[in-house]
Amino acid sequence: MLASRRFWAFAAVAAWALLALAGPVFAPYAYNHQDRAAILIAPCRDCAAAAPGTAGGAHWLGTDQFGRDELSRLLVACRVSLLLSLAMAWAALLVALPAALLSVGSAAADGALRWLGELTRSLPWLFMLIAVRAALPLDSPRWVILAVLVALFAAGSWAVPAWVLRGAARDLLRRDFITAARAMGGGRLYLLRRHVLPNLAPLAATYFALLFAAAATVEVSLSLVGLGVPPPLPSWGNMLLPLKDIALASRAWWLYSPLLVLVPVVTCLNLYAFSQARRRTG
Amino acid sequence: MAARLEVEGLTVELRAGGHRRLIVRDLTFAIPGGAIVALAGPSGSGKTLTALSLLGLLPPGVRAAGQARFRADSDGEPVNLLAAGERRLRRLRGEQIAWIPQETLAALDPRRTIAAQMREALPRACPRREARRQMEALLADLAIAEPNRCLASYPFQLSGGERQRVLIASALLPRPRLLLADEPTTALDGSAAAQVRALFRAAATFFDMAILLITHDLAVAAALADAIVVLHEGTLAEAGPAAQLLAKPASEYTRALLAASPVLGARAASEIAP
Amino acid sequence: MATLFATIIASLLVCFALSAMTPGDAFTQLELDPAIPPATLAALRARYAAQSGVTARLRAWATGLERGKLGYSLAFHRPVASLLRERAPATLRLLGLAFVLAWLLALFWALSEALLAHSRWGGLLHGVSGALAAAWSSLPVGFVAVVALIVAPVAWLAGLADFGGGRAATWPWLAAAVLACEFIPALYLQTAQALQTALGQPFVVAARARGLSRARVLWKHVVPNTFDTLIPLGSLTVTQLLVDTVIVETLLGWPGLGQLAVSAAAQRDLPLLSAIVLLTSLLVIATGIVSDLLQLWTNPRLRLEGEV
Repeated sequence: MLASRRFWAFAAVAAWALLALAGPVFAPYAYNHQDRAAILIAPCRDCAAAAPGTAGGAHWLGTDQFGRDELSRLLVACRVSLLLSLAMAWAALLVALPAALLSVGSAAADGALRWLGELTRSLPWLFMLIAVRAALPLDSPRWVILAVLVALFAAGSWAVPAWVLRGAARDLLRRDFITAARAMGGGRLYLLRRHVLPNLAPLAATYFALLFAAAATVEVSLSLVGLGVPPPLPSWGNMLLPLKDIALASRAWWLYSPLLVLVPVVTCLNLYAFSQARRRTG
Repeated sequence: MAARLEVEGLTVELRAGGHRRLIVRDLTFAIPGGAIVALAGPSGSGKTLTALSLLGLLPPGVRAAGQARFRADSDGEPVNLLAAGERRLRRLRGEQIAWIPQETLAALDPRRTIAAQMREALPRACPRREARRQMEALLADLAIAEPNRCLASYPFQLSGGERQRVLIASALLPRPRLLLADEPTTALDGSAAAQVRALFRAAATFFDMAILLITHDLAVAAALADAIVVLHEGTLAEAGPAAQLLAKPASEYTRALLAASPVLGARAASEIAP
Repeated sequence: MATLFATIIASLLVCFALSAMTPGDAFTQLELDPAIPPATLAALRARYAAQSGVTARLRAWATGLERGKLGYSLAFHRPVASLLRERAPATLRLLGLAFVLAWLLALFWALSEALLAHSRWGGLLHGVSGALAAAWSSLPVGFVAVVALIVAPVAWLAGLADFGGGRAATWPWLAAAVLACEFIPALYLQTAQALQTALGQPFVVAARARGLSRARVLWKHVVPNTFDTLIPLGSLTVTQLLVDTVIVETLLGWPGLGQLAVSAAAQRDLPLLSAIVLLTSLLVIATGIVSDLLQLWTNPRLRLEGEV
């Protein structure tokens, strides 16, 4: 088992989840604590030398353009991005799975869901996000903005997993063991619960991983155009905002820190999902 | 006189995820030029893989060992097909050693016409009109009603029997020295099958073609083969001249195969009963 | 087909619904300017936004559309149509270039892997490719855009608005490369899988048995049989590219429709935003039609029997 790629991918994601949930407890500073004397200093153990007038102490990952400790912000950002991406992936799957199951139930539902899926796949949901964000009043509570992100991500991404899960459910229902279960008098709901769902679980898990990975990367891109998690609450995306200034981007290398976590985690998620997919067809 | 094909100690092994399984074990037989040898056995006994190993087209994870000496002419140098490189094998495939696959629909590319696919069997240097003439003639010999229509069609537009005859024609077109025929008459009715058998016999006799006939039905072997090799779970159960084997089968597996044959089995059963 | 038309209507409805929920309109910004007297504002409002209520505005816009007029952009002080005419080619160039780059690279990658699959390095290449694709997909397009600005030589930045190239006269190589980067790993994976499925078919063995080389079989028999998977994937790529163009255009300053949409939303310019949504939906529809036609052309069974 130690040699299996799946194990390592899973271990990496679990480690990150632990870091994300427990990490902020160990953060040396509050995420929005500003030290005006310690702006954009490189990582240092005893920063009194680098930035005179500062309160001293270590900044293991340096500070950003407002004097906030990068490490503390990263720890909080991990938690924020973890929870947000989880919510986005869950929301998408929460729409996709029932939709898939409903569509194998009746032909009418199947047609309706197919139509709805095509529709949402072609809708320019990014424009809608822009429009909604513009429409919201400037002092909207944070949770409203995040809820909008989650809802629109789910609306834009549920279609493909739903279609694939529907296909898999239909294939399952045609198999012999289902006929046997039916012959023994199993009703539709029973069949779904006992036989279809457990067998769909691996496929759903693969899509969950893919959606999670997509959510994390999408959040970064959206933040860079101002549509992501609103500051000052740090997320992987908005921590990269200062890099839009070319001078900063080439000088302050410690500001790339979110990538330290983002890239390995998403790569592991992708590796897990791809290995599942390749195993199924190969 | 040296045989066209001499197989010695052929072993086919499947390697998947750490497991190794022997599919064919130490198989030895020979096919002289102009002879038809049947490789008979129940489904799954490794017959198709034996043939594929001679072409160097085994699926991934499957390996063959042993010797398979092929001589294009009786005084030529033998080539060990199991050890030859891809380039050498590619020159032999199609023109010297031809293959008739078992599946009819799946063995034809659904997106290309029959003519395009049959053309691949002939050497590229062959001019178009000549190639077309040969294809039409061969299809006519195989009792295809309208060779032109057939050549212009796509595989899904033909019946199973027509497709099988197209595959047979593709294999015979370049007049190979060795023909590997995998269940070539299963999709054909009585008269069409008889016509194919006649064509095989003619090819063997007039073109000095060596034919390996793979079948699970001994009746087919009985009608066509000079010698029969019975395969059971990858090992040689029995081998010998056809008439002798069918009259006095020595191995119990041969007897089982005989009983399983719809035609021969009934006959044998009626002969047993007084 | 009906679905796609429903798409346009749905997106437009959403746009209008959102604007209805918005407090304020195009003139809200002007309210903040103390130099403009309220009377002027009231007059402007009366002149341009005489209709109150969403349905009235929707009807007005729809009738204008019927007559071939797309409305007037209050944010840019120009007719919407002229704005679109100026910006649309820029986005189309970007989309086209990115599409071609992404597919060329992905196909090259997948085909090379398929061709070398049997060789000594085949297994290694497959493993490395998979890991590379997984890691590559983890780079968000926005981040790649930001890094591209730093890394690219100055010459490549020509044509980008922020760097003095106001007119979209040049080809957006940098922006297209950044955009293509987002899709290459996913396209490679899908293509590789489609090739793998096609390679497992018996007619491949039959073709090799006729003496064709691996390369010829790949080109003549395997690739055409992946079209059923790849053509719909191509149209999906266009749809997804449209989404990412907004991000890339904004970050790299390419003066196209995406950038325009962001400005329009920021300034609550409803006619402009609706027109952009309409245009992009039309583009998605056109791609769908092209994709269907291509499938019909390349699949004889579909062409002759109407279904597979």
